Amino acid sequence: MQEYDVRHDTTYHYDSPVLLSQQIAHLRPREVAHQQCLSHELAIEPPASVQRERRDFFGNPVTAFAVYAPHDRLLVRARSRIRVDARRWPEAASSLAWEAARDHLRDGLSGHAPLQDDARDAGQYRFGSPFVPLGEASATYADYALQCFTPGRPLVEALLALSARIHADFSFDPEATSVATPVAQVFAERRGVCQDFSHLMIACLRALGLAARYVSGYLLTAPPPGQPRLIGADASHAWVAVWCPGRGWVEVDPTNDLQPGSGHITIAWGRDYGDVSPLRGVILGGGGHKVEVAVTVMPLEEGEHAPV
Amino acid sequence: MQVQPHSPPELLAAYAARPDRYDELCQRIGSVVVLRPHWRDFFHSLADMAPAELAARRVALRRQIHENGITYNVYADPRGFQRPWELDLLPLMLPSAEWAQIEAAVIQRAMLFNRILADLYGEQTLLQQGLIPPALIFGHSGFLRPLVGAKQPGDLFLHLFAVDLARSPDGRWWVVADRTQAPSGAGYALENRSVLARALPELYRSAGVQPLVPFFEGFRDSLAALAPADAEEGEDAPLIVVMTPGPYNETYFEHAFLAREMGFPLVEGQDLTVRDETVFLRTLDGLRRVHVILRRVDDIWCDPLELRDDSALGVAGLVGAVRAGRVTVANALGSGILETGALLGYLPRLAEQLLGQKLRMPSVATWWCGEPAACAYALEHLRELVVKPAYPSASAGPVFCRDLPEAELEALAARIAARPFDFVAQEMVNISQAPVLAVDGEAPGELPSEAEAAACSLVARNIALRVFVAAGPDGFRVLPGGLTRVASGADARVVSMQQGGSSKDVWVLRSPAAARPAARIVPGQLAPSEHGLRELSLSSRVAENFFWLGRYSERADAAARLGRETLARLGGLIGPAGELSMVGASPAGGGFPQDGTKADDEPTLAALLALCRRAGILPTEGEEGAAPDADEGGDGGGGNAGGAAARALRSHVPLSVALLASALFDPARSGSVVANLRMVLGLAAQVRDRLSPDSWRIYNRLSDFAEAPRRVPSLGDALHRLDDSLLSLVTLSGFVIESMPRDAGWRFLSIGRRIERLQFLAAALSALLLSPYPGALRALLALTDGEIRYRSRHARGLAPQPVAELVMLDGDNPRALRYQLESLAEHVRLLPEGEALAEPLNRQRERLDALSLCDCFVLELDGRARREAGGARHCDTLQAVLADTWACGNQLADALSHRYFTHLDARSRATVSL
Repeated sequence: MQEYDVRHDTTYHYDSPVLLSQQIAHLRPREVAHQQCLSHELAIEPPASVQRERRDFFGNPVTAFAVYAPHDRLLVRARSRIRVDARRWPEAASSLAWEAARDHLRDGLSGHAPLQDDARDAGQYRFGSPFVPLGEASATYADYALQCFTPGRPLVEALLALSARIHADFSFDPEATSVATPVAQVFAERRGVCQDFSHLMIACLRALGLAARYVSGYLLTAPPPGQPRLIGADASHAWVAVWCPGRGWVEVDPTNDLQPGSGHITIAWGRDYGDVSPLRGVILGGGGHKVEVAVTVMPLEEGEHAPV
Repeated sequence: MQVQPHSPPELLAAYAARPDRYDELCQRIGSVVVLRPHWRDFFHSLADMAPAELAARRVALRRQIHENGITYNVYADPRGFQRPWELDLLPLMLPSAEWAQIEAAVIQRAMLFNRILADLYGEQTLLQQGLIPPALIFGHSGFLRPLVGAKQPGDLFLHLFAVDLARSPDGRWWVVADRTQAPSGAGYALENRSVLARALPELYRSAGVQPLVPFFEGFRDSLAALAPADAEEGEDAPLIVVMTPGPYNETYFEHAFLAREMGFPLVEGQDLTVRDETVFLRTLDGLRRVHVILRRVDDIWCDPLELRDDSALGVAGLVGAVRAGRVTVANALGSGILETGALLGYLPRLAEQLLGQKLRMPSVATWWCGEPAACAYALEHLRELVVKPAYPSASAGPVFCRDLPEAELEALAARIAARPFDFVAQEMVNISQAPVLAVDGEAPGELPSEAEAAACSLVARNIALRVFVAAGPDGFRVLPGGLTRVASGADARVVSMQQGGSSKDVWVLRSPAAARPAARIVPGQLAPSEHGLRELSLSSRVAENFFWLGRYSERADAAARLGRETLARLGGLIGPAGELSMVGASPAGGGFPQDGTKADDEPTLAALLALCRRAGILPTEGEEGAAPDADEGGDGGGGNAGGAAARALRSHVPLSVALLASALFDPARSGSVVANLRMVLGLAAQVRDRLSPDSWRIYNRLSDFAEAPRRVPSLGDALHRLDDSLLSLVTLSGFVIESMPRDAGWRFLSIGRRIERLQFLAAALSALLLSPYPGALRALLALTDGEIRYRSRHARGLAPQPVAELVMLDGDNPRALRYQLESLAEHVRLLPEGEALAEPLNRQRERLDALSLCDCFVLELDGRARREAGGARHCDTLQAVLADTWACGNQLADALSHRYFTHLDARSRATVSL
């Protein structure tokens, strides 16, 4: 078990005043079996004219707010205290064959066989989505994945093999891609960041007929040896979960080629980044804009309860 | 073929009923082909007409389509490629008993679809029970997850629903496709009716056709009844708007038409804004709450905040307002999900489960390949089937497997096997055929002439019928009629307006027992709305469009007048002293020489040419590089002629009549008559819902002059064309004065006109009034349409003082400078908070009045009169006042834009952060 204080600050600087700003934030960490959100607050500058909390379709907490006063800077500061328990993943070699997972979904989703509620919900994540379009490209991703998903291979084992393959084949390069870089380009150029690798892995899994979802969150990073933790030096993180019938969702982090442990803090999940982007908005006016994001993940020592 | 009895051979000579298709007109009884009973009266009346009469009816019909401006935009072309609507002279006739079956089937389908939508966006029991395969919904990009759980007033998701029907060889009607998103065509059906009932009035009357209008009136009432019930104390009657993607949409004509007919404002996404989960319309008076949105924008584009963030057509926050129950959107956001062929196979079971009824009308046989058995069947019979995407996709149309080479068929089969969920296969239907009137040798889309060959005959074309059903206060109601779409060629498989097809009106005949409807109903015209929708304040965008409409139509008018005068002088048609050479005026009386030489006139011509440059008709000295070279490329012959003119002008070739004539009609020259008229037409299209059909007809007539001439016009042609353009423009402005309601739109239109005229007059006065040359005053009078008025007041001859009185200082002459200032001040004072805008105008008017008392000015005018040509002196006061007046127009335009208009730089944009 580990507790964290997470600061996630987003600042927009606009070239000319924004007359109207409407925003949707996925910044409040979701409650999950292994994770509790002990406290959360969102500070908005200039103050929001209206602010509402709700849950989105995927069950994630959402804060919607709007600023009606003209402003040339928008600051959104999220402060969360979270407890994450240690996690246990199914034994890779003993999971069911990946084709069985595929067929279970296919038969259920096509109306051929009845589906349990949880499996039907998993069906939401079985198809192409705005950031993970499949269509004719489907065969390319399937080919790439099939080298790991060999006939009869246990699903989790194959999943970990695919993660290792992506980790080996692709280089981490924050300069190479942006929020809008299509998966096809990431696949062709073999570089990107956590978001790109997650989308790519999701594309591979869905192309095989499996259900895969995008998990957005934070990752505890170790400061360089002998140096103090720098405020704002971290970033949001993303990884992948695959539906394993009978076992539920099994997560894997292809960027670091590991299965999430207590260092991975979950904020939200959806079909892809577009469903869970931390701050998505529409502004009127503003001209050009710059955005700065500063994330700090502070592990708390046992018994430490310092105010954030 | 032989049609009995007494078939008029000339009409049916080319008509071939085919054994493999149902024929709407004829049936075979034994070995004889006879007319179907419900066609007989109509057909015999038609056949009784002389061929020339038939041809004339058809000409009248097409002319009316042209005049009503019924169009269908085929491409999203910013220059507005609008194709005239195609309507056949023959309706599709349907007897009442047959219609009753269609009606019941379509109502049942609407109820069924509404129930399905309510479940998919609610409890989703259909997915839990496997009545709809979850894959059909989860894989569909039209399943709008943010709307799941949103309640719709009255549990109504489908307010207007359309079904495409086709008839198989055995005479049964089948559903081919469902339109649940934002169905188009009902407005076209209504227009078809009003055009056809006028083209064949006696046939229409005697046929006993069910009227269309009550359907639209009922739909209008039911929309008003669907306003959210939370209207606050003191709120006005519910505000209902029609939301359009804009004038480049293929069915924009219909959006504007329906908005106008139903009395709802036509808005674009940028006209609306959401505050605190409530939708508002931006108007001149501020924000007004919107209660119901009849949308013609596909739902995924309706909210960049929660749906597609790259949409510029939507309203940020609309989804939130719907979830909060603060606005009703018709059809409900998310209803596009049912536009998939994959659903069709599940409908019979769904009808039994949800309605406890058998499905009344079958859908065309469809196999969704996501179901293994269906997939196996489809792959086995692929050759005979049509393959379509199961989920909507812009890139993929239907594939007729019969036409595919073997290798491509195999590749398709492989794709289906790999991704079965993504495909549906449908049976090919041999759809029915109906008679279409064809005229020999006529190109489609071209407006025929009266003298055209009168060789008319009937040919058989494949048809499909679109039927409309709308929610009414007492349940769903079907439009008794619809839109028949006609395939373009004898063997065309796809029936589509986009692919060049034509249309037909649908005449559903009354049952013999039915009472005749009240006589008040004019075919195709709705009774005025009775909802007490108060006269609306204008949306900011519409105000701005009216303002520019006024400016450009006045600018076109000025360019035509200036061009006419300059051309006439350049061509030597006007003597130096002008035609107004003042019969009986005494030279000794102080006029100016009547017998001036050619040289005398050159300064006036130079002054006119300078005005042409200032107006952007001719390039200015400094504009060498600015004259676009692009016009040397495409854009037809006129562009080339204009380009040549620009080049010649740049190289200081002496200006010829031909060069000026081409510049005047060169669309690439921003100040040309043609360029200005194009702006006028573009802006008129944007406010089309606010223009009466008559005024639209006048605008439409202008389009004839907005084309560049094919070759450089001769002097006579050019003058003739300018006269005609001016006549249309004057008709238009007269019509505006006479018939437009004095609302804010009219006010902004008038303000635009007055500002433009103010500036043109100031420029013309500055260039011509003080010129010592005799032709200048005459030119000034010609530009300001003042000859007659002048002559009626001053018999003694042309003199600067009275000309100045008339053109500058007269408060009653609508073409005088002072009149513009006065009129502008009156208009702006009536705008919301407009008082302050009037002040600079009043000050300027006072300066003008003071000028008439100014010694310097009076002396200058007198002195000019006394002097012979040459030796002009400046009156600085006059020039300063004119320059300030001109600037005053610009300041007013800026102030209006700042205060009232939507700012283009303030468009909504999506942002996202990591």
